[in-house]
Amino acid sequence: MKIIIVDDEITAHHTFLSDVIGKTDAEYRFFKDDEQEILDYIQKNKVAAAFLDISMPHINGFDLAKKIIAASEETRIVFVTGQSVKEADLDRDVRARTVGFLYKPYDADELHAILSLLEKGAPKLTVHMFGSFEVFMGDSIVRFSSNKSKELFALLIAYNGRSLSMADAISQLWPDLDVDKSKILYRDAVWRLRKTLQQIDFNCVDFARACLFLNKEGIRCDYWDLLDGLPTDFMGEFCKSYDWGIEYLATIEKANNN
Amino acid sequence: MKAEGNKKRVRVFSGIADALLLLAGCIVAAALYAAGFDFGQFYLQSVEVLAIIGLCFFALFVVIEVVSAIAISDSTWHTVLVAVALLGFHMTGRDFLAVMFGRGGGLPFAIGDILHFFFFEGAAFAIFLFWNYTFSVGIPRRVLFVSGGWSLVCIALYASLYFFSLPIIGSARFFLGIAAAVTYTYRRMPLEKQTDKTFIATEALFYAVVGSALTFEVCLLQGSSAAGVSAFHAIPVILVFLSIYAAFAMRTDRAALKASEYKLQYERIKARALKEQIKPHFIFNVLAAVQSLYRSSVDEGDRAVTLLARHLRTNIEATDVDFIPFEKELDNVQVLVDLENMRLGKAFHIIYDIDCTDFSLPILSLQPYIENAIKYSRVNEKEDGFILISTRKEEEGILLVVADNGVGFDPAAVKPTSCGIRNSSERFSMLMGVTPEIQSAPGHGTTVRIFIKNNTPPVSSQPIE
Repeated sequence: MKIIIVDDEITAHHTFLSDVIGKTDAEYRFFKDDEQEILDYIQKNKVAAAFLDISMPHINGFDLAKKIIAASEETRIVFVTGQSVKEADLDRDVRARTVGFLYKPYDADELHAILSLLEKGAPKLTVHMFGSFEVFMGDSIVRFSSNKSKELFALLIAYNGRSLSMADAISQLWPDLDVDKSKILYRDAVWRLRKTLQQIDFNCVDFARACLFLNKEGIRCDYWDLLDGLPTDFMGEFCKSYDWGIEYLATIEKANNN
Repeated sequence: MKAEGNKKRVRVFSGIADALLLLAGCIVAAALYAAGFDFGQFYLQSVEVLAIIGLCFFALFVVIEVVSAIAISDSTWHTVLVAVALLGFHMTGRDFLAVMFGRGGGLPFAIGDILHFFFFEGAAFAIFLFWNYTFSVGIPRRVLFVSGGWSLVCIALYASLYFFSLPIIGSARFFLGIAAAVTYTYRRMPLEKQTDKTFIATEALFYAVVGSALTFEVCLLQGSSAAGVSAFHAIPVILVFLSIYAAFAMRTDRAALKASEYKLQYERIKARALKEQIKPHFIFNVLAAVQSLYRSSVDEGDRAVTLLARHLRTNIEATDVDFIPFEKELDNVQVLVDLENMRLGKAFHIIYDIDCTDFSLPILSLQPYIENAIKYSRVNEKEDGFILISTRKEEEGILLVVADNGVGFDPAAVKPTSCGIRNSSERFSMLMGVTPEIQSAPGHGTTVRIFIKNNTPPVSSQPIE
């Protein structure tokens, strides 16, 4: 996959970008804001994406995007900017080709996310329940902002598409606390889960009042595979740091033996 | 309820007044007739004098409008358009044409009648535009184009049928269009806008002009010369126009002064909030932390730079907006807490007990309370220390609480509000009419309660025009 990066102050970002992009399979090239050179390159090469700075002295990123779109059918656009720009600021043609926005200074994770989106299309969530519970978005691990929100998500995955009520979640996550306190902690976990999913841009949970639903689309989970009779690497442990995990072991052993 | 009933009454009265204005010219003419006035040469001469006086007034209005459009930023070209259309409407009326060409018929009158109709449509459309602009009716451009196009069609039809002595068919269509335009405008306006003085006055103007045109058409249909119609109709139009100036002057005097004072005060408070928000020492402390983070881990350093960039971006964006959706303000708070946690050894723990997020609040208004908790509460030194942010939907509004179980303070002993907090509560009260309550006692933590009543507006920064 070839990408180009257009920035008038490219020397300033060169090392960082080379470092981050160098770790992926993408082939990249830097350009200053020389319109003709860029368009020539685009016409001669199959460029998957152009990362465009918005405010440059010779041409602004929006105008350049229009010209690139006209010159190439496959090139997608990523805007890189210091100020905040919204999708609504773009005209329709440009919007249709825009994959995303990156804010300076670059966030390595966001840059990775966009690169893998370009390469592999919409990423999938991979969930490991055997052993310790971990969630991966594409190749990178998902960081939950609290342990309980992670555990809540694990429980939701274990529920396998069934709705999870607040009472159920509380009785399993905070079995020893009094009701009022546990309700507050439950809502905190729900809020944090919501924020985490927002951050990875994968909104698979429907947050209804006192009840959660999981949309299984786009999620791969070893536990679900096992229930479906697919081969897995189950080694006798299920969500090992969570107390409620033990209750599932019997079911898993049974399914595994079949 | 009472105020609303009152407003409805105002609507009814202004409706009756509009109906009277619709017929005003005819009423005057009929009254003169009933008084046994001699419809002879003298009548025609006085009508012409009246027409010339009318002309002077309309010319004066045009001059005033043009000058004010140039000199006063508050005035707009919409009213210039209205004044010009009225001047044209009057100058092409039969009574003024008689001053120029004498009583009679022929080509000048035919052209004059068509132009009369043209200016009528122009005035109606200009008033329509004025309403849309001044009262933010929000009429879509599509509708404006359709109604403008409709006016042109009516004019063309009127002109083409005029020579077949069938102008009434052409004019019947424009009444249809006007009825549609007025109904459309009403339905998009809330009651309090409908009782605005300027609206009532311009509406009256609208009906006075329509009445003049209508009476004129009826006279033409009956083969009458329509002498006196346009001259007498000019009187209520002029009076109404003067009353618009009166309404405008009364409004400008009191409200504009208040609004500009209010705006100035608000801008000052907001500027102070922004200045306080971007605290140099905080930024440099964070940068120092970033510096050492990079020594231990490049990834950690990257994350810190991203956080700092997010924090700065929010603060810079705040210059352009007054309100922010609650959820976004929470995101900003989280960034701030992450930055602090990165810098300080012991982390602060925030508990989000969020029941509803569908409201907005002044930008950067929540942060000062969190900052205060971080600075003074010492909850990070406690085993089970926390800062709680909760929202609860209640019957009459939303209760927003920021609480901590830290050391607290005695509100009587210390000056309880930091600059940031005072500023935040000033903006809460200016923009939303809400007063944050702070409760604290040594050893019992601090609780800030902000109750946002239903229908509290995220109003713009200029609530009074």
